[in-house]
Amino acid sequence: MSRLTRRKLLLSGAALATGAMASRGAPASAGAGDAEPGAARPAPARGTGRLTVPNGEILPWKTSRGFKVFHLVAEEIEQEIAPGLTIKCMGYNGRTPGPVIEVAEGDRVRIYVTNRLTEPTSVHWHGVFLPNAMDGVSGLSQRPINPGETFKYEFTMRQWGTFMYHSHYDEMTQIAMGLMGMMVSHPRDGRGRVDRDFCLMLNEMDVEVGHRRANPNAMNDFNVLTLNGASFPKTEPLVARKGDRVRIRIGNLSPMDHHPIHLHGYAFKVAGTDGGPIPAAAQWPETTVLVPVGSTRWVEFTADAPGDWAMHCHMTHHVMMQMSHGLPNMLGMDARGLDQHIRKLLPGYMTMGQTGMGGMAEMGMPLPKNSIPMFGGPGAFSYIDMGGMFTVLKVREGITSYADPGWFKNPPGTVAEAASADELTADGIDPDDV
Amino acid sequence: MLVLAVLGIGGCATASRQRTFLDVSREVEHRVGETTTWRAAGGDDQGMLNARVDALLARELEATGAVEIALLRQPDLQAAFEELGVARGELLQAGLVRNPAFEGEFRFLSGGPGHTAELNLVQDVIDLAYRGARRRIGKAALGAAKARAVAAAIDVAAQAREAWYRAVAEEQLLAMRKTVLEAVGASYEVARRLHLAGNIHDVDLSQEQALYEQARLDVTASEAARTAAREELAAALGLLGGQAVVRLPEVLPDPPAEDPDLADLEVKALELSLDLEAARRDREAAGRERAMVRSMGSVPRLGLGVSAEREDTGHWGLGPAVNLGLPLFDRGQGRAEVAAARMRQAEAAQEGLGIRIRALVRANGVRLAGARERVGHFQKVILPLRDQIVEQMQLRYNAMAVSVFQLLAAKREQIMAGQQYVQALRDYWLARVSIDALGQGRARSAGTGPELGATGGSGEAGEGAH
Repeated sequence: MSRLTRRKLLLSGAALATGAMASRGAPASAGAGDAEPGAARPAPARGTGRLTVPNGEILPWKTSRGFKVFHLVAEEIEQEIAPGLTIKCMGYNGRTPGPVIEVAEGDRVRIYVTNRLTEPTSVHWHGVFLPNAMDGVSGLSQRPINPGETFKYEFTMRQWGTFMYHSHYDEMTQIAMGLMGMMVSHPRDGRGRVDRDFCLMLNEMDVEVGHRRANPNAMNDFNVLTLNGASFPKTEPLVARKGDRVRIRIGNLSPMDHHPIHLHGYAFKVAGTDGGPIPAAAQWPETTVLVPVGSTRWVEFTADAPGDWAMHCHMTHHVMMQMSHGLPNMLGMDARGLDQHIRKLLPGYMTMGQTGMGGMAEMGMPLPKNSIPMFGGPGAFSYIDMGGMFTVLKVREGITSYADPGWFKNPPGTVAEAASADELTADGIDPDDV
Repeated sequence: MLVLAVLGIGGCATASRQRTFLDVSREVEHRVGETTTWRAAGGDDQGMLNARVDALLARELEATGAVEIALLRQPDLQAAFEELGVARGELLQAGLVRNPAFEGEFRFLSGGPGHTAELNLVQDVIDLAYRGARRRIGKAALGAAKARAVAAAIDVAAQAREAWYRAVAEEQLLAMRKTVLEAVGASYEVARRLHLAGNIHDVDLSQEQALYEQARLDVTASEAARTAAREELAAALGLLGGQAVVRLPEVLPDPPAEDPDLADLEVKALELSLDLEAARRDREAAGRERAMVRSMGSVPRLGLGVSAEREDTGHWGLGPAVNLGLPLFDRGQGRAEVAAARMRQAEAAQEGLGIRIRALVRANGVRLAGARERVGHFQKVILPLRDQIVEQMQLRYNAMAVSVFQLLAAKREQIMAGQQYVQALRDYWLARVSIDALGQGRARSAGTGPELGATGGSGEAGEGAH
């Protein structure tokens, strides 16, 4: 056993009695429990990685007879994706994606999986080298875990990097319904130490407006896009201090869609995949990292530009929520006089879409229960009409806590505003000039 | 003197008509609940009744108002009441004594001055003896006529009510079809504008236009139906020309709290049946006729009187005269057969009525119950559901999950469910009119007019002697 592992053992002993993560300071979300007031730099979250899971949690473990022992429970759950939208889906330990399994290179890992679903299941450890019959492919590697049963998976984690776990039985249903999670393994020797280490899982579901359950049969028309099981405005921001070395791990188990994740304001290096780390000279510079279905990507950069930087999937339909696609194209229609005419029959009617879709959510129209079509959230300047797979990287100078710092106070003179008449004249710009 | 006598008789005749009609009008008031009038009877202040009709027409006309007007104005009813006049006339005739016959012969002698004369004055005696029998026949016939007069009044009242319900229903349906047209028109307008913006295909626009044009046809047909129903209402009320513009409520009334009990109704319908009463009276008249004819047939026609003769000697001889018709060939066999047939006919009619009235009560009772249930179902379940659907579609539209076309279609379906409700309500009321008429003593089925009247006419009975 390495020094590191033993240290972890000693530390874990203290937590064993409660089984809680609190004494280890493991945050359920960015910043919780991290603060040490007055310190020059926020205290480390845990271990070597400072792993932060926005909107998520880390799976607690106990040490037993030299193994790190985890317990996953596959079950049907109800989860709030964003305020106003709660859906029935499936998850591990009460949430989707399931809690992040955090281990270190060389750990002997034992994971118990209890099946509380109404059909059999299994768990595959995506990207992990392990004995063949621990691989979790139902029928090929093992017999399925029947409802009510608890199976034991056991292997030694020989790698470090970003991996995933997910159901490998009736995947069309179970993955679509949310049975997935991330697995992170830290290097034994402290390589790749960063100041902020974020873990995000991408998923998509089909939830028709007014429905309360995800539809696993969808193949093309997914309309609920999530980061760690939440959609903007519920997505918690990624908070970093200026000068922090930042790593963002992204895993994609969306049933049918790759996601190009774009970060504003920065260029990062794609530093690794679920196949392993990429040597520095070979690291690919990007502002958008394409994360294919069934892959993970980790990107790294230094947070040297303060501000609120948008981070989102660049597919335009993936930053909207619950839109329907069967409607006629209303854009460009002359709607004058139409509303009065139709209101005689339908008092609550309003023509929509003829000038575009922006501003829909702010109208406050009554909607079917449990739906948030096209919603976004309030922003620093006005309403942000984005939803779905959208979050914000907040970089601040000199913060002592990684709690949400609110909106960035832009230095004067750096704000894009309406040009004054003087400014236009001085530069010889005529807005009417084509 | 003669003039005064004639006038007196005329005045008496009117007073008698009033007395005859009093029975009828009391029965009508008791069964239908409204007053009626027979103009020839002259007992009512026609000016006041006209004012009543004008007052009713000045306001929105309810079903009861329609009945009132029809009972006062409907010329067909006046025609039916004149059957009373006919029966009364025949009764009168039956009671009149046959006129005596005077016969005189004068002969001027050819051989010399002087003349002979023969004078006879004979009064038919047998005819006198049967006067009572003839009057009893006439009274039975009058009784049948009175029953038929009351039945006619109930018919007129029922027809007026049916026409009123149909007319109001057509008004309500027309209003709804116009709203549907608006919804379809709005849909078409949106399609037109989308097409103008280059957002939909020609065929989608044409389909919307087709729906719109179809809806326009529906409105046109509905307008024609409304006009026809109004004309029928005016005709049922006996109104002409300008008075035909009545103001009607916009919606049909809800069904009353309860329907009559069917078992009670069957008993009542039979007890109160005017058709049965008329048939009974017909049978009575025919029975009396047959008895009288058979009795009279064997009796020789006897006339008694005085005879006076002047001889050529200038002496008058005076003595009784006898006129005897011998019943050798004609003993009234034919008339007796006719009367017997009428008796049997009336009996068969009674039997038929007994069956028919019971069947009508049951059939209309089931129709009524079924219609009430449908109306209730619409009110409690279907219409509220349609309201909910429109509300929920509006929410889905707000969420941009459905288009404005689907929203307007939901609205259209809501209104069309409303139309079915109005039709169910109308069916209820038409069935109710039939049931009410049965309870008032008249056998009729909704929409098809009187189901049947007793056979045999009042014109035949009472013709005792000729």
